[in-house]
Amino acid sequence: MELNLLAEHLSLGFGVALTMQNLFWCLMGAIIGTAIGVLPGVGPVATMALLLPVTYYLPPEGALIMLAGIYYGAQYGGSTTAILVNLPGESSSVVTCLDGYQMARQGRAGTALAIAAIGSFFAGCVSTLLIAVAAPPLTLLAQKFGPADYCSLMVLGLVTAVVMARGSVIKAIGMIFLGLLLGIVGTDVNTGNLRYSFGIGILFDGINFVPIAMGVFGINEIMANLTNPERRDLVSTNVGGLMPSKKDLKEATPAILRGTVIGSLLGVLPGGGAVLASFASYTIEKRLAKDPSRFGKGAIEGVAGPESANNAAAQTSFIPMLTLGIPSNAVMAMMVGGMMIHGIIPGPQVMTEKPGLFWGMIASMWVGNAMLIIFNLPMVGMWVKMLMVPYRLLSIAILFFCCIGVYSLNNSAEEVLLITFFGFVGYVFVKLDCEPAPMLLGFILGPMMETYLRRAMLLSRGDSMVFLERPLSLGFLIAAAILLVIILLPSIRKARETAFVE
Amino acid sequence: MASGSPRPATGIGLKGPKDLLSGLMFIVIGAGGLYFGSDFPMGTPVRLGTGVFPAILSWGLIVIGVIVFIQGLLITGEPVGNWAWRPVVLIGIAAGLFAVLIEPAGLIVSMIVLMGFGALAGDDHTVREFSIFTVIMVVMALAMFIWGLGMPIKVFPWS
Repeated sequence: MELNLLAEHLSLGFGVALTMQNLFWCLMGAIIGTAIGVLPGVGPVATMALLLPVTYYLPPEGALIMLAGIYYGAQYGGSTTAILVNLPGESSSVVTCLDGYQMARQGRAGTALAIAAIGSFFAGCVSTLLIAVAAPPLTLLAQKFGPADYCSLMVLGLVTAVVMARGSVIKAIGMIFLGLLLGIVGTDVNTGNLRYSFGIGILFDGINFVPIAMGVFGINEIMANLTNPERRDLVSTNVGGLMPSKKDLKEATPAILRGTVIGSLLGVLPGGGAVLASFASYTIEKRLAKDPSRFGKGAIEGVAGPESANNAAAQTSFIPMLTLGIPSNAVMAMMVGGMMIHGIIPGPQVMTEKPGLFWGMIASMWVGNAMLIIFNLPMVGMWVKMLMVPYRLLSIAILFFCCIGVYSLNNSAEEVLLITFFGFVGYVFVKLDCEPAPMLLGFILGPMMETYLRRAMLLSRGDSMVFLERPLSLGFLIAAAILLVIILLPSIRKARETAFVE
Repeated sequence: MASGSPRPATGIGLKGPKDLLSGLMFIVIGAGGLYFGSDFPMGTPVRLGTGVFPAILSWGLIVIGVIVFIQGLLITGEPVGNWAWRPVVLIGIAAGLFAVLIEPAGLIVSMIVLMGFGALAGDDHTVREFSIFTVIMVVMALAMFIWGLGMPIKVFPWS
């Protein structure tokens, strides 16, 4: 029965994902995502911010499929850079640098790239299935949530996101509050009152997601990267043989399996996602290895494990977003942004109201992963060439794409000024060690949280105890409180800091 | 964390300048939120008014700002470091001019201006490389956005 239902859902999904059009968008997303993800200093969030406006011109299914493709592509591209240039294209490939680059120096770059791709593909298959299995029951559960439960769940989500993020916890909480506040700028949907719009026309409808994301992640990154010129030690343009030997495969397989499990589990946690998963997997592989001293000197497990883990986590982090409508990290915030551009409000109703879109997107994850492995490995040579474009030129190109992208959304020149503003603001944040990612989460959740808060109060006739009286809501709040207390305890804080340093 | 080696005096003797400034930033934004939100109606507990959520958030920001500020007073942290004014300001100008020019002057002119200021922000540009790159970018932009996606953007100043 269950299996039948699963098969039905998947066939519906593949029916959508395998249309010529959507295959094309998936491919475009994967390739463009890889191309931009390969560039050092441009991670998945920035890549998605950069390409968000393009998806505006596509039908909703195509747009989301392409965005998801961009995400895997960017992640995959990030590992390519990590292996070939020893520069993490994004934070989840930091650990890939350790052994991947060493493998490249030993002339085994091709093997490292292939193992990363195979691991990612395997992890992608497993986690796509996991999403398909887990989504319907979770959606059913989510439909039973009352507004108070939702509100508390968002609090829990935001707190977990903070705990999992790097850097100062208290500053991250501050950034969330700031994001929530930015999120409610403009006309209040419930009363029609204007808030914090200061008579500026474009603020009447609220700040759009794209300018804020592009300013803080796109423009700001250009400013920051031009400030700290990076070194690039490209090993060589000669990548070596792509096919891993039998021995390589034998060593890598257990690491891939373990990485997939770890990644799938950690990805579901709010704020967890790819970074945590890759770190956890590397640590575990090192612990389990018969000869840990090989790590850091080109151990294939050190590439296979984390790469599988980060892809699995990248995928399963879609679960809370798709079923509950709550983005658990900045990338998912981008996906939500992409959905909202098309007028889709994320949440449990998406699965029932737009089953084609929902299952199509899930099926496209598998398709996207398959495309990455088929197209990307042969294209490695091209990525290597891209790596040789100097940053002084890239920065100008990225700057232009940010500006034209934002302008094309609403043909609004004011919004281009807005990204400039948020670029400056983002630069200040970086200088003060305030992570902008939590702000983006708050920004997305701000209006939702206020709506649920109001609804909860209305239903309880003004009794704020409702948050503590509903068992689900109480549970979420207690979990959030426990997490906060734990993270603020000095001993655990130290352990967390060392974990991130390692 | 508290003890450790004495840091060379920074003149004013600020211990954690990054935290102090972040704290101030949060406090100022929170206070601004309260000030500019002071005339939002609060409504009743049953029907929360426009002002309730902003007030909660603003107070939250102020409290967090104070905690971060105190942290900055007590815990020694890294200095803020130099502000790279040149790239930051020039990138800002480049994007700002693009915004101002795109409607009156069209895509090509505003692109060239944007790329020029963008180039000034980086180092080691040569006129030759920059000119070739600009031409490639302009052609690519026209192909992608105007002919490909059909975006309704003015191309020439006179069109």
